This record gives sequence, C-alpha cells and structure tokens, in this order.
Amino acid sequence: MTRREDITSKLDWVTVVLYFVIVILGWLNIYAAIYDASLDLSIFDNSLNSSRQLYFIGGAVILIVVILVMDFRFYETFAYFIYGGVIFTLIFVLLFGTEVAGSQSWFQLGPFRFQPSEFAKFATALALAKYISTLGFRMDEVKNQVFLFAMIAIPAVLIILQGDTGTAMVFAAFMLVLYREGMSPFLLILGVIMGFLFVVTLLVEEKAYLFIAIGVMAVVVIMMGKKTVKRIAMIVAGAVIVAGFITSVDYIIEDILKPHQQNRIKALINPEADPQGAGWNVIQSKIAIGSGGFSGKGFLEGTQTKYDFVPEQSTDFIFCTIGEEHGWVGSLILIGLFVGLMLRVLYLAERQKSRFARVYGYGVACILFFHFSVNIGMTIGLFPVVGIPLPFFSYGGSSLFAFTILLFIFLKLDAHRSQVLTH
Amino acid sequence: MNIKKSILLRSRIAFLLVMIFALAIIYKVGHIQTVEGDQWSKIADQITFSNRIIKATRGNIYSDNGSLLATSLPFYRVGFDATRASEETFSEGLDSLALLLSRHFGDLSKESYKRKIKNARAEGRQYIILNRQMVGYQAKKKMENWPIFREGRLGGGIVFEKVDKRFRPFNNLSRRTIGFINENNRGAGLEYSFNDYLAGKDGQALYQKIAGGTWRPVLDGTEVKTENGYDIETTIDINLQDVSETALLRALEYHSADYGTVIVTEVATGEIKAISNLSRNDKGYYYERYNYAVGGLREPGSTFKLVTMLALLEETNISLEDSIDTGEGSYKFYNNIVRDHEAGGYGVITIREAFEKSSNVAMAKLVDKYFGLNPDRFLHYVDELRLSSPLGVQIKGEGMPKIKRPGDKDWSGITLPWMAYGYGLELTPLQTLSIYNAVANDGKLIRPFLVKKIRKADRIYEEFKPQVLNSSICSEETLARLREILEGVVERGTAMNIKNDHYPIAGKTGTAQVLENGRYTHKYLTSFAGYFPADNPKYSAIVLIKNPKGWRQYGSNVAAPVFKEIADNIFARDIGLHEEVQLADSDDGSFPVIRAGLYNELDMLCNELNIAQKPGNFDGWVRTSVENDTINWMGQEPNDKLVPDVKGMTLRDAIYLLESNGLRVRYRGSGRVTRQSAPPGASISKGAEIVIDLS
Repeated sequence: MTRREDITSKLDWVTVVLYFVIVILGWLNIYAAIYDASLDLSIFDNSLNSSRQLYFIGGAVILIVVILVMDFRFYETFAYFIYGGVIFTLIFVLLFGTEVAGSQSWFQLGPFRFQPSEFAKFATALALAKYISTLGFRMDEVKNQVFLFAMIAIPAVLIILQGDTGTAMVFAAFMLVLYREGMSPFLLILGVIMGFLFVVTLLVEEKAYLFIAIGVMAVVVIMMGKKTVKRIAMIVAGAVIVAGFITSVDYIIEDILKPHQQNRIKALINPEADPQGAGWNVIQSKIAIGSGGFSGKGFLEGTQTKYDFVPEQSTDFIFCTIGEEHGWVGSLILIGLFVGLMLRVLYLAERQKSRFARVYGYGVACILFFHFSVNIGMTIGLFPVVGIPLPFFSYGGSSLFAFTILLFIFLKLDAHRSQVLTH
Repeated sequence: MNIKKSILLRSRIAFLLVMIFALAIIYKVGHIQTVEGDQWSKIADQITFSNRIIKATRGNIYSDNGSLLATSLPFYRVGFDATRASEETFSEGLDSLALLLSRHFGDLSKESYKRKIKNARAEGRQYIILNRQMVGYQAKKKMENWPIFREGRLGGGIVFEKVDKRFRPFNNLSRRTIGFINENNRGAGLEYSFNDYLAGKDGQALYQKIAGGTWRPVLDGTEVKTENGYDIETTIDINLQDVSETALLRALEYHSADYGTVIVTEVATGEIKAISNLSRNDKGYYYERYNYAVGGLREPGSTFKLVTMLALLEETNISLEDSIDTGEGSYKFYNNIVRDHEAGGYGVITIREAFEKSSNVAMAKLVDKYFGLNPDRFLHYVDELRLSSPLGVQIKGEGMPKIKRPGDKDWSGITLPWMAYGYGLELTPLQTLSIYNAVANDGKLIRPFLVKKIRKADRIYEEFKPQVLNSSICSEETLARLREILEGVVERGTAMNIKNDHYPIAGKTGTAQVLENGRYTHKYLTSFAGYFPADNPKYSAIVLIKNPKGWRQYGSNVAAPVFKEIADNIFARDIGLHEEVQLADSDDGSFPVIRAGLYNELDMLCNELNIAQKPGNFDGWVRTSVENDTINWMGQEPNDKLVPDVKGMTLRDAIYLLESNGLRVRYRGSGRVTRQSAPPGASISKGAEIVIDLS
C-alpha cells in the first residue's frame, strides 16, 4: 500500500473551479429571474428561491466533502448496489410518490421534496461502467449489448411511467458512451436517420406525399445501379421499412402521445402557429433572449423574465435570464464555461487508466452534454420544450445534488487514477 | 482500421460533437440576438408598453332630495418614484415618512419601509409600489401632507393611481331600478338606461409593465384626458322607497308569494317616488331580480274594469244606478262561461254595486251589449288612454302591451266581453297605474318618469318635465263618477278592509288567474291600484303580488293591505310624524356604529365609508372602540371551548359565531346584540342554548 495521499493535491482543480463558477452564476441568475423591483427583496430573503438555492449549494458542498473523503473503491464495488437501490426507489416513488406538476416523481419528506429520477443518472452511469469494465467484456457480443440496453432502459421506462419523459430522454445520452466503448456506429447512424424521418413526418401533413417521394427515390436508386434481383429486393425492403416507420411515427404522435406532448413537438416546427398555446413558452423565451441584444440589459434590468412573461424562469428557462440581461456576450461566456467543463471531463476520461473510471467519465460528459444542449436548445427553439434543467445552474435541490454527485465521484476516481491496476 | 485508430477516432468524434453543438447554440443565440434582435425587442416593447384606458369616473345617481343612491368611490394605489425628491428633502423626510407608512399600513416595520425606499432610490427606481393595499380618499388627502409626498408628483415622486369602485349607500334598496352595468356594457335599470350619460369618456395613457404584473403610467404627453360622467337626479324618495319595500317584503314573506311589485307616483307630476320589485329565490329569500313594474306584462284582471267603466260612461248614457242582472254568478257567451267570485251570484244589482263588488258578469254583459257590434269603439278608449303602446319610460326594457283587435287571428266573439274584466290583454303594472293616476289627476294622463335631471356639478345638462300624454281622458261627469265608484270600492266594496277614519282611499282590487303555458292555473295575480287621499289625491300607487299561498288569495286580502300600509306611512309622514330613514343608527349622531364583527368586513366598510381607523392586521373577529373619530381595533382570539363575546355584533355574525362553537341560538329583538345569556369566556357544553337580546 502506498502512503495515503492528500486528496487536495490530486484533485483536478480546473473542473472544481469551473463547477463553482457555474453554480455561483446560477445562483445570481435565479435571483435575477425572480427579482421584483417593487418588492426589492435581498438575494438572501427567505421567501425567494435564491435563498433556498444557497442552502442547496451549502448542502452540495457537504456532499462534495463526503464524496472526496470516502474510499474511491467504494463506487466501483457498490456500483450495482447503488443502481439496484435507485431502481427500487424509482418503483417505490411510482407507488407512493407525490405528484408535482403532472409528474409522479417526487418524495415528500416533511418540508423537503426530492426526485429520485435525478439520482438514477449517476447510478446508471456507475452500473454501466462497472459492467463494461468486467474482465473479458466485449461490446460486439449480442448478449452484452442486450444487457447494457436493459440497464439503460429499465430506469428510463420507470421514469416515463412517472410521467417525466424529459428526464427519461437523458438516458439516450448513454448511447454515446457505448459508442465510445466500441458499439457499432451503425446503431448511432440508424438513430440519426430515425430522428430525421421523425421530423420529416411531423413537417409533412399529408403522408401520401412522403410515400410517393419514397417510392420515387427507390425507383431512382434502382435505375442508377445494377438491376440484380437481390439489390432490387433490398431497396424495396428498405423503402417498405421506411414507409412503415413513418406510419408508426404518425400513429405514435396522433394516438399515443398526450396532446400537450404533441403540441410541444409541433410547436418546435412552427411556434408561431399557436403563439398562445404550445408556442408561447418558446416565443416568450425568444423575446427575452432576443431583446437582450449583443451585451444585454444588465444585471436585474431584464423585463421579460421577471414580469412573468417567461415560464419556469428560474428552473428550465433560466438561460433566458442570461440572454436577456447579459446578451450574446453573456451567453457566449456561459456556453464557454459549459463547453470547457465538458471538454475537461472528456479529457480527464481519456486519461483514466481504469476502464471503469473512463466509462464513467464518458457517462458524466454525455449526461452533461445532453442536458446542456437540450436545455439551451429548447430555450432558443432548436429542440422541443422538454422539462430538463441546466446542470448546476437551474434552481432546484435534487438536480444540483445529483449533478454534484455525478461530477465529484468522477473527480474522486480521477484523483486516484494512478492507484488502480489497469485491465 | 486498427483498434487504436478506431478509439482515437471515436473519442475525437465525441469532442467534435460537443464543439459542433456548442457552436450551433452560439450561432443560434447570436442569430436571435442580432439578426432577429430588433424584431424581438419590438415585440418586447409592445408587450411591456401598452396604451391603457383610464376609466372616467362614473356619475352618481341621486334621490329626489339629493341622497346618494349609487356612486363611485375612488381608491388609490400608492406608488413612488424614488428618483424625484431632492437630496435634502429625501434625507430629511425619509425617517418620518417611513414611520408614517408603517403606522398607516401596519404591515411592515419602519425600518423595512426605510430600507425599501432607500434601496429604490439608490438603484434609481422610477416606480415602486409602497403597499399593495389601496387607500381611500381621506387617507390619500392625509398622505399628501406627509414629508417627501407633500412635494407632489414631480418634486416628491408620489404617484396615486386611482381605482374606482361602485357603491350603493342604501345597499339593496331599489336595487333593480338603480340597476347595474357590467364590463361588457350590459345591464339593467338606470345604470344601464342612462349609461351614455353616467359613463363619461374614458381617457388613455401609455403604461409600462413592470415587475409583479403592475403597470406604471408613462407621462409622455400623448395621454387623452378623461371626461367624467354626468350625475343623474332621480324622482325616487328614499323614505317612501324604504316604506314601500318594507311593506311589500313583509306581505310577500307572510303569503310566501312568488314575487311582488310596488310603484308609487306623485299624482300631479307623474314622478315615480318609489319602485320596488321583489322575487323569491330558490332559498326562499326575496331580492330584486327583475323589474316587473316596467317590464312585466300580465293580464291586469279587475283593475282594468276602470277602463271599462270609463268607456261605458263616455259612450252611453247609462247611470250608475241602472240595474243589471248578474244572475247566479255565471253567464254564457257562446261556449264560454264568465263567472263571479261570489258563489250563487249577486242577482239584480246596480252598475255601481257591480263595480264595487267587482262583478265580471256585469262588466262582460254591459260591454257586450254596448260595444258588441262595434268593438273598435271600445278599443278607441283603450287607445286614448295610451294603453296600446309602451309608455316610453326612461328605463330600457319596457314591455310591449298586447291588445287584440277585430280582424286579428285570435279575435273571437268572446274577446271583447273578456277584455271587459281584464283578461285577454296584457299591460305592465306601470301602465295600469298611469290610468289611476290620470283619474286622480283630474283626467290628465302623464307619462310616469324616474329621472329629473342630468347634470354635472351645478351645470344642468338636461331636465325632464312631466309630459302630458292626454290632457283629458274623459268628460268631467265621467271623471266624477269614476272617482265616486273607486271610493265606493273602499267604502262598501271589495276593499272595505282598508277603509280608515283618517283619510279616504280610492282604488280597485284585482285578482287575476295566471295564464301559464296557455292554460289558466290556480295561481293568482292579486293587485290593488288606487290613489289617496281620495278627496285631494297626492299619490297614486299599485301593488301586485303573484301567487300568494293560503286560502284567501284576493287582491283585497293580499295586495290592498300593502297599499294601505304605504299610504298610512306617507300620510303620517306628511303631517310630520314620520322619521327620516338614516344610513345607520348613530351613537352621537356623527359616527357610524361598528362595534364588532369580522375584521375584513369591517375594514372594507371603513374604507368604503372613508372612516378613519387605526392600522391593524387581524385575522378573524374583532371588537372596536372609538377614539377621536377613529376606529380602534381589538382582536378576539377564537376559542371554540369558550363562549365568545358577541355583544355589539349583528344577528348574522352572532349566530354564525355562536353556532360554529356548537351552541343553539335563540334571539329576541332586532338590531345589535346587547345582552347574551351565557357570559363571554364561560365554557361551552355542546348543544346548549344561548339567548341573545338585540336592540
């Protein structure tokens, strides 16, 4: 055994500093988002979200200390236990949870509420990392692929059952991790194609045109190449599959998705079509960001966010406050901070000696990436409005704690990277 | 591709993906903020700036002696522009201003107000709302003298934003006639009918939305000034109105009737002095819901016999002493039978008796005899009395009378005889009354009216004078006989029960079967129309009560006593015996009684009546004391184990409080609680009885 080394000297301080800068900026912006000039309450006023967020930040610091003090081997050893425990709470919350804003995903403990689904992300990342890092693991074995998909799908399905589709979608980010670890890119490409077809289906009202287009394209492709029976059969089969996919997407949207979900997706394509309804959020958000201009209106000077035009202004739409009060420059700085953090995590992941830590690191980066791009994407109309928070930045204890745990477990693993045996 | 290369490629793709997305977002944000920036900013301005309408102050509605029937009370939101005051004024006045604010609103400490104002100034805030609670006019006057505030809007930064509330000082008195108007300009009564005058012209000013969803006025010179509405002076006599409404309500409650109407007009001028319409709701309470007096068309029944007699006396040379055979109380016209109320009939009687006893058979036979071949002649008299068209009163929604004519599809051989005793035609109560008023007014038919003047302050915009519809409805001989037989009804006839020694009454009872869905039901519309004093008529009135319960359902038993009660009251008042109705009982004649009740209600009352009150913030029940014309609140801790102190409360509050504590309440008297049988603070045994005295 080597002498126990001081954790502070091994810790990646670049990440820690980035983390705290983002958290503090988040706190200031939560205050700005809800600031009411006529009431003029201080940022510490107990009735405001900003003061509660400060308590959450304090809690997060305690969590960090705990994570850093615990033995780094704990996380790998108990990865499945943690995963199992979280799955259990997800089932439990489904049965006994409290419903908040249409999602049955909250536990109420006295005055405190928390959302187990937030914690499912790091637990799944740990379990995936553990499984992939087993000796002799090969990504190209079908059995392994099925197992990994199941690991991702179980919490995702449970969260969908709670009614929180947004959080469940985050689990799709793990596909990138699997890709990094050797999964065939074919699956990713397939995913992208499906996404493309999905959007096209939404865009074209009259599905007959789509089918005609597919038919024409198939004929053109057949004419262009050799006219062997096998090739023609393949192309025809492909065209039929595509047509089937479009039909099923149409069916899912019209018959399975709830009306508010349908509207959100449709509003993405054309928010102006229904400015009072589903498009409202996005339009208000764009007005806020757009009115910020190059350098913004200044801290606490924003009007659109505060005056209740923008919904969820301290949680999901917190980016509007930045856009409005600090303009393009502020947005650039914030995006820079996030990109810096993500690239740093990826860089750290690549330097890990243990496969476990590397896979986990990728998991962290992918989850952050997904949250970041979808959250900001929805405020500027790139993505449909999906209720997921901006990591470290949005108001909320569960989300701050979960992201803190996610990130600092990785930093702890990274601090001990030289102490592990490589497989 | 070897494994190492593949992994390197895959990790690079991951890095690249992050960068691509980041760039896409940065590009999109930049696009929204620069290329589309102007467009979004414009929209932002559009939704944060708005040309808002400033409501003009609505005109008041007054009674005949200038008592307020409806008014708009101004309330003010206290806003503050922290950048206005000079450094000197600000630093000198801040302390005392904060103290005064804290005292007035009583919700925040002096320090909090001080910090709030100071911060606002430090940050250059041009508008903060000092307190969301609105203040009354007197409080505003007071505040205008406070430090900093007294420098005014520009020098001190005080912004009083006016918000109007409609208020009826006499509460439900004549509620339907005063009427209402809603935001969509729909309504009823005078508020609706005279809305064009009352409303005034709204102004306009640019407002900016600021935090908390409130709007701040921006004075940029584009504002349109408001023009306040005209006041309306009505003919309503508030005392008479009160007397009529009380008498009507009592009768309705006694007979459990469906609804009732009373109209009192001044004979000489046609001024409507009182108008009351009460209908019963599902819970059995009576309130003003529909203006039956003006809009309610009904078959008048026997009160219409006055018109029949007028036509007969004018057209023929019959004498009141001529006799007529009414047989055994029924007479057959074609296949239909006219019946009299008296079982067995009246036999052979004089025409005078026929009217006084209200014989249907006699009227039907006489009209059939003299007008049967020439119904138009009879209708000529109806037309002369202006009964075939609406009176044209000042309230919108007057009913269109229905009078059949020969040649109409529903005209038949029995139409005219039936019309003789008031069936087969529909009139409004006000129309019937106008005929009785004309008889009282020496034959001069006047259009009844309700609004005397439209004015703004002392400037009269329009004045309404009595309008004569027919200067002489009949010959003087006929008139004298009509008055004779109307007096006879009270002297010897159906309304003998209201005869009194003090002054003579003249009038006619009516008991009409109510037609519902084309069939006559066993419901009756009882009525009495007449005037008094009969020898020198001053007031005419009509009372209608629909569907009284019990076995005596005649105009004489139900409607006539109400008429008598109103007449008695007016008669008594005219010789100086009647006390004026006042807004509320007073201790010393200057200060309204508010002794105990719910804080929220009393607080609102004080604000509405502009009564000074000590600041306070209580949750439930309070008691009060009065110091220097200022209400002082004392909180009352709710405790359902102890008997509460209900002294000074209204019956409603007392019963609510006592019964919610599990006591059964018996009460005596009316007014406010003066004594309670169990002392306050005694412990409660559930279900025990408590007796409270009110006076």
